[in-house]
Amino acid sequence: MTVEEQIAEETPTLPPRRLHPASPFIGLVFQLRQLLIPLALSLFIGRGDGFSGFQYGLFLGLPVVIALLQFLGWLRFSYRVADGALIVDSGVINRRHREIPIARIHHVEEEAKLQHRLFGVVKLQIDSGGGESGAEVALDALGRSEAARLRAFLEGRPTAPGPIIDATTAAQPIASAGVGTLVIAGITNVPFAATIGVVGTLFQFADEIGDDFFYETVRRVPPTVTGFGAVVGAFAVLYVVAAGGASVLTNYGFTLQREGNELRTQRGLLDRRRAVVDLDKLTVIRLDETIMRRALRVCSMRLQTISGRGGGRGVSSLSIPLLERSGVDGVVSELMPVASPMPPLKTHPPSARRRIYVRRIVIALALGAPVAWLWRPTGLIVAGLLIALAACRAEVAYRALGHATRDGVLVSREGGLRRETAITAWTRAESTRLRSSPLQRWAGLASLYVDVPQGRSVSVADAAPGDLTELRKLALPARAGH
Amino acid sequence: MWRWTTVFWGALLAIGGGLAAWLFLHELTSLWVVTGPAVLVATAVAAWVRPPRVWSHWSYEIGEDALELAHGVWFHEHSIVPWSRVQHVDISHGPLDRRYGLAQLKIHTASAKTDAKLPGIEAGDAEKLRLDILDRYRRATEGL
Repeated sequence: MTVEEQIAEETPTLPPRRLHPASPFIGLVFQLRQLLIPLALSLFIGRGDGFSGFQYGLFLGLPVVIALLQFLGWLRFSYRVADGALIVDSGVINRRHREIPIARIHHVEEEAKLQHRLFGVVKLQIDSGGGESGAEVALDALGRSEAARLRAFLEGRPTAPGPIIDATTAAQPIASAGVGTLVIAGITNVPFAATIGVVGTLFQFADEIGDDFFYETVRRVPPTVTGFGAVVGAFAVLYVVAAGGASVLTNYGFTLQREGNELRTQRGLLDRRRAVVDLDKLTVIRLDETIMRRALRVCSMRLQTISGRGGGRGVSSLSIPLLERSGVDGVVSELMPVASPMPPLKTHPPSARRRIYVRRIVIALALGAPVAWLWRPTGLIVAGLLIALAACRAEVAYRALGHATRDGVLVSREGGLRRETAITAWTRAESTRLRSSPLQRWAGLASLYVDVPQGRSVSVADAAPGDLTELRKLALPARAGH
Repeated sequence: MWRWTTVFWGALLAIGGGLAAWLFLHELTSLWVVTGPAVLVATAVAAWVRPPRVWSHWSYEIGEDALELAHGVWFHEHSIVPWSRVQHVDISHGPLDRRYGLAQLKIHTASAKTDAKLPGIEAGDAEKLRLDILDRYRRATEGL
């Protein structure tokens, strides 16, 4: 008897059910948010002396049509558990019938945005690694007890529904973060230049509505050391509030806990997310270190799974916002025991340094030469600074390069001001690709890409082709036998 | 076949660009009288020179444990796909493929990044190759 047949026999039937009656309203709010800008544009573009009847009709009629469609969609949407599968029927005009075997479900995520919390419901997202970019099934509005009940069915314990993270259990969290830690995570995560850009845009906006607010404020500051310090201090406070505040909003109450073969996580202040993931579906662990984090000896960690989540740069439910560098091995030993302790990384050949320098300085020259030519002599200084900066960044990028393999695990590090270390087991390799550009061949280098199920590949950039070929030999014959 | 594909896209660019200029940007029409034929000439040269180079850099090997394939004129790429990782195999025939009795075979794994496409295989061989790959997959995963 297969696992799926056994689960089909053991799982009781859950009769067909509808989503919470708040579902059409939540859907309407979502759709209207998507249409807000086009609707506003339709009102103001081509406005003469007043709004036309068509504009009034569009503005008032469209929400009614959307609300009607949402209501019909709610009427036709049903889910049930039968024969060991979650079965979802949906669609007003085109009917869709989906069956996801419970044995294959490995990622269940509970999300409660503000509109959900208003009605006391949650959104349940269910994945089985079927290759779709979003969740395979999204149940947009379920009452909390109903969501817990369905999760219990999907987790194979239908008689014991409970919360994803149970504070009363003895399970120790693998990682958690208080408000102070989250503020540091936010401050050290956002690139400083991006923050200056955001603050600049905010001031420009304030100028637009407040009659040169920024210009007038700065003009009042006396041209003294104290005045300069006050301006810098104000920027620092804004930076901490913006970056730290965003991190607290996203990650408040973060906890990552392991229960048997499951990872359970929760986070979020306004939009709350809770997720359950099968640990054996973890494909890659990625450590993220900005320059500030390296100085503080901390990093963040993202967990990439077969559903493809957690691989991108953005916020993922499967990430640890901040942990001390000294604590990384402990967390890795919980998540991917074979990778702990992490092996020391091998540096890449000096020709990799040459290649990175050439590439970055050529780009700086291409940008700097016209500047130097058009705005002499200031342009020459700017071009010189650009080249010096490119050389510094090239050196940082070279020093970031490193890789190691041991006990069936590959560890690779690359990046520049922001470094990323990827850890994966060779058993996760679906295929490998060895690539080389003309410049790499000139320098006697190549890059290896290890393709994992879903999500980003793990790359070993600018290493000696011989080394990379040896890496593949270590991996693929062992893989082929599995 | 690759020559005809290059000619098709080049001609489409030249004619499409000319049409767009004639319909929407009248001031550029005279410019297109010169650049349109230039695009056609460049296409003809590319169609003559590039496909043999691309073809000479394409190779694949059905190994004991895995499929190996290499391609790329400027950017060389060498892929290895273990048989045990094959999920399914697609065979497709475009209009030009059918004209020349060719097919394209693509091997899918659980990773969308896997590069395992074999273009320009003789149509008769493609089906045999597909069955051979599936047989190798079965042998590689026996006893799992």
